[in-house]
Amino acid sequence: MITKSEVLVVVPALNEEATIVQVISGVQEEGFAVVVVDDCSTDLTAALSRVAGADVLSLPLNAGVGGALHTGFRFAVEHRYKAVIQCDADGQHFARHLTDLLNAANQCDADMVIGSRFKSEAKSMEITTTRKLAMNCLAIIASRATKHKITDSTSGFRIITQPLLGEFAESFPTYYLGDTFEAVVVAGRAGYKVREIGVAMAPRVSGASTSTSARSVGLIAKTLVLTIFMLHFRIRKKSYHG
Amino acid sequence: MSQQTAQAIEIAVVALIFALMIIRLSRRQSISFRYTIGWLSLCAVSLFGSLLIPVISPLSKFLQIDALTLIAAGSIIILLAICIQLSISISGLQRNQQRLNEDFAITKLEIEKSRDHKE
Repeated sequence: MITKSEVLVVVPALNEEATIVQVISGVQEEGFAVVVVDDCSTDLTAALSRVAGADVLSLPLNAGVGGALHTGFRFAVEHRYKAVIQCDADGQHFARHLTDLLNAANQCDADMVIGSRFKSEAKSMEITTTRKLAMNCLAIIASRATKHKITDSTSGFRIITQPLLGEFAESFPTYYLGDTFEAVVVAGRAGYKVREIGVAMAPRVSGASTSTSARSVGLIAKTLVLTIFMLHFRIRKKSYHG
Repeated sequence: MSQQTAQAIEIAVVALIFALMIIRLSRRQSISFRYTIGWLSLCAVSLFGSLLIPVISPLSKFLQIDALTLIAAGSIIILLAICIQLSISISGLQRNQQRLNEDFAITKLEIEKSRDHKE
């Protein structure tokens, strides 16, 4: 049974000064510790985060979302946290669902619980047909890998518990989709238990999504190569941890 | 002078100019010694290969490939080997850079926290 004090919320952030304070406040109100991983922002993201009471890991070089998350995972493991919740800095993830993710992880004894945008009854996101097609394709592959129906393998809102957290702190991809979809597939193939719960998500308040239709098509091709040739990163199997 | 000899001399001259350029870059420390060796090997294959066309000829006849094409193929194989070596080196550098990047961020936060704690 993991308690809130044993969970660290990791918020990777790049130029999110418009929303970061609101995100940190939401996390703190839910009773979780929070660390912001500032991915070389040029605005006031880091300063505002510190004022809001969050620990800030400032990367001197831009590392991407995956690199920022990896930094957060290492920090969490070094400080003996039992779980990490990934949460976006753009305000799309509602803080009230943090506890839902923790409860689900405890109830299912899961190594990873994903907050799915498509499992929620509330229609929270509008996406293009091409992107939807790409996401469905990824969901099928992720479901096969985890032997569980996954509807949103690219969601960046998820809880990761030990020992999977320790594995990710050692090895985690930094490229696009590696930190979301690939992490799910790798965890599933290594025998870790991956589950999903439905969550609502707010539309973006500021900034722009990194996913475009053209990119969606590209990611299908990349994903197929990755999956067919088993080129993804490696972690130790769950059985290794007993 | 046969056409083949003329081509061999032209290739040898280009290879020599390329080798001199590499040596100059290496002396300026623009290229590390490790890569200098790789590029000079490529120059050597082109230079001596073109001059040794009569020696290569029996092999090229056996393989049913033109002698100059055989030299070009040898050069391309060395080029590919250098490219793969460079890819491996760059991947390693990226990993090291990412590790340093993360270590810096974590250590900086630890120092800030311990300073705040003392104050």
